[in-house]
Amino acid sequence: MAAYQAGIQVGRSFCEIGLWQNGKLHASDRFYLPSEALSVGLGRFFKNHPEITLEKITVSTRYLEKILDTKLGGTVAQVVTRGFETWPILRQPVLPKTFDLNPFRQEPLASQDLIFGVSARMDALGKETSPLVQEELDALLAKFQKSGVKRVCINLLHAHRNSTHQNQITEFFEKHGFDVFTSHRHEDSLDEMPAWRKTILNACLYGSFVDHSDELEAFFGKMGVTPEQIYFLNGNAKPFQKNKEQIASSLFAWTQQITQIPEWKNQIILHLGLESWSLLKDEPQYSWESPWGSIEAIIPWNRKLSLQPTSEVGAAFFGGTGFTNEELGFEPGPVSFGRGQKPMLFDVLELQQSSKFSQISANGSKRLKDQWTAVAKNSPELGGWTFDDMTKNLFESLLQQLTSEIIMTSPTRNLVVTGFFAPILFPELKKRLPKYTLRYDEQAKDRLLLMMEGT
Amino acid sequence: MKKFAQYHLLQQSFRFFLQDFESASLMNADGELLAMKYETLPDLGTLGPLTQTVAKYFQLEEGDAVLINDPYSGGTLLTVMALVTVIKIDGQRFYLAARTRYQPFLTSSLKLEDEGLRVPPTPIAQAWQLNPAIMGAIGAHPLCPMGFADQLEKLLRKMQDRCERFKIWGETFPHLLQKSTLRGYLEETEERIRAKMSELQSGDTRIDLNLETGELLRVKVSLSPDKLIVDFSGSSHSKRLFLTDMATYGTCVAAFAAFLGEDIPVNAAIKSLVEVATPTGCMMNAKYPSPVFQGMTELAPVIATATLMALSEINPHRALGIHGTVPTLLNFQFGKGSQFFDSLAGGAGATSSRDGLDGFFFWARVRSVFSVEKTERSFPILIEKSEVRESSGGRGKTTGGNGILREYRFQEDAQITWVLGHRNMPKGIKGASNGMASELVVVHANGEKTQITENAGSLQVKAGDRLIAASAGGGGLGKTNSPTT
Repeated sequence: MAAYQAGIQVGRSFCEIGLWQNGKLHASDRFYLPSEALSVGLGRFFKNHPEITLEKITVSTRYLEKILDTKLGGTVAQVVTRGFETWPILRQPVLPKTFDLNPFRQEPLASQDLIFGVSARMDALGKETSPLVQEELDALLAKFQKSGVKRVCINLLHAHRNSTHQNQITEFFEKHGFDVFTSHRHEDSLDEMPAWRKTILNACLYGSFVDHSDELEAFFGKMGVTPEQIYFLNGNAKPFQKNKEQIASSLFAWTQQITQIPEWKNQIILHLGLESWSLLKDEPQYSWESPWGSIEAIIPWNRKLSLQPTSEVGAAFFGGTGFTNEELGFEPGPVSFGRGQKPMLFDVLELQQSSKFSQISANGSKRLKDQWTAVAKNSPELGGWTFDDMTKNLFESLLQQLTSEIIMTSPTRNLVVTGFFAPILFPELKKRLPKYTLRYDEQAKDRLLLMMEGT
Repeated sequence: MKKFAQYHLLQQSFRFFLQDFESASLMNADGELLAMKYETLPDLGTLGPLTQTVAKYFQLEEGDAVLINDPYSGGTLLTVMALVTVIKIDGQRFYLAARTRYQPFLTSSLKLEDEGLRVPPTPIAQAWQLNPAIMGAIGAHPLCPMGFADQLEKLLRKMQDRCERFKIWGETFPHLLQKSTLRGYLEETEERIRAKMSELQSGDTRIDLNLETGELLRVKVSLSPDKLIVDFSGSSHSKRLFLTDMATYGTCVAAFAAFLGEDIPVNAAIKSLVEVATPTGCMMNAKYPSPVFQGMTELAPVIATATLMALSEINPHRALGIHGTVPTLLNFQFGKGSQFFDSLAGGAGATSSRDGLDGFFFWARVRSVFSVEKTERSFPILIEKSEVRESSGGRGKTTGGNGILREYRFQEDAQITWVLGHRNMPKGIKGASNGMASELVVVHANGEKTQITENAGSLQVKAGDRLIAASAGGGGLGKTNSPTT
């Protein structure tokens, strides 16, 4: 039997799988995760390829992003420098960004009730100004054991200048069976909070990452693949296996892969994927502007576009309908799939190009039609508009907004257009951007999967 | 393309155009503001007049830029520099103004010139090149902000890039920049804001606040479906606080925009809907050479809060407690000329639907953040504490936000200068308790304490001394069901 490599890209709602041998793609498939569980979809795919033996599996996963939508850090405790126990909450970003009567802070990833201070302290030169007190650790141990804490983040000021205290605390809690998370920062790093957030993110995602990894190991185990043959990709698109410090970084593996495709080097990539739309460039950035504030991570330059596949279609300030700043989730999913409750941009594209979609549901289409007819009735600006008029108008709005955003924000005028929606949008954008060089790469999907072979 | 879709696209496009600036505006040749991105209260009232001044006195060509920070010509703080340039498309002129902020510093002076280097409108660039002679002259001034040239060069490059993009955008969407479309856009914005105003209760009210610096702030607000009138008649002449009429206007507009509770486009439309009266001689209509630092940082948030309170008296369903957000400002001057500036936000006042936020600059959206490690790397200070000042927010049905507690240990001798926001407690309203007042204490190395009570001043500290700074809590709102403490 021939030996193959498999590459799996697990998205928030879609999974893509490719199978290759000697640099040639043998087979590939995509499935929608809310309607087909990961192991079920993989099972269906490999059932069609009974002849193969797998020698290596590479996984690039955005599955963990879903976990970030819910607050799962309940059992993650933080040990911080005393006097800074509430500093993380004060550094949380505030929304909205304009003046508002009711501003709010973004909920932190981990519980604020489980942050504890220790008096050990280093100064900016890495000199100890206050020693570690063993009794403090003993007291924390008792608290953690009582509260059911399993994961502990160590976030001490200037630990990257002198990690003695951090190492001592890590050793202490690991000895007592805790999963301990620390950050290893560059000596010149100047802001504590992005590093602290990274530690917390790793800890919060750890449980789900292990579950995700176990699911894949169990599935491929039945095909004779050992855990040692399964690799995840980190933010540098380099492989790792169950390394606690690489988990947050793995969220950016897919972005990094895209920017590393040799055929697209030195170009701006307009990625119009199923799940997210952005402009990407192969230029390292040292932090991720996450919803919880800046997080230390090496990621490629990327700019999330204002329009996303899940952008809500709703009432606009100037009347009629438009795309709001609200992003809906992929669960339950687009209305046209028969799942969602509110129409989103995805629905507009799906209706515009229904031949490209296999998931369309008759019920969903009808519900969407009913919803939009109701909107048109209530909006004087849309008087006399048919369902088709609305769809066409929204599609045109989408194209104009996208065109405008590209002009105003793309670093150069030389763009490669990729992603699931590229075939639909590329010809339209090309017409609207005559001063730009836009290129559509038909091999984009294959190139992405093949990128995994070299990792 | 339908009109509403055109206007939606204009709104979005202007947002893309300005989003990477700290604060910036776009104006047409008729002096009408088309779009703005703001970070502070005075931004809303000053970017327009600043551009109008430049457009009136300079025949700008593309690639030219005029530098300006004079508060009496549309500037704000002297450590905030603005550049204005022009974009020409199809015979039309558009003006882009953008600001960059430098490290501020505190002085206790009664003269504007002591607060920094005042730059009246000065042509500084041609063909996108900064004039080296003028840059050199400004850079040589002892009060020129640190990093002046680098930051200005960056701002100019960004403006050049944006102007080039704007021209491509204008060629791509020529119909959107037609005068009739832009006129329609402003008229429709006005119409939509009017519709929102008509949903509010109309009425008149007056708020009197006795400021800690001794002045009386009197705000008379009259709200109708067509107009918001804010009248400061009866307010004191200034003793220490001075604000320009432009900044006062922007402050009232900001409060109104926040009250409307939606991300409304900020353009010329709002100008015809908000009228602000600042009688000659009152502290909201300062004249040169009055200093403006305290006015911009301390008086503007108080005016905005008072305007909001007045609006919420007329519309009680949007009630708001008193903020502790007049920040406590600190400046440490060390021997070798290094200078550290810090600003501690107080707690926000409670609103009818939410507790106030802890340690939050309610009236600023400045992006810079305070990093403990960076501060300790850059200055001879050890920060021993930076945390929420627990229980400092006023209790009530909804609770005021807590202030911040920050402790500094000096590793070298230093001169500290301060402006102490909220020495008196921010009041709770409708039966709620007050927020705690701000505090400033020096704990000397020998254990003796010096409690600072003046609103502003300076003091010498020695290596080993500690400074404990606590900003005020916000006032609560409404009677609590449980006993207050």
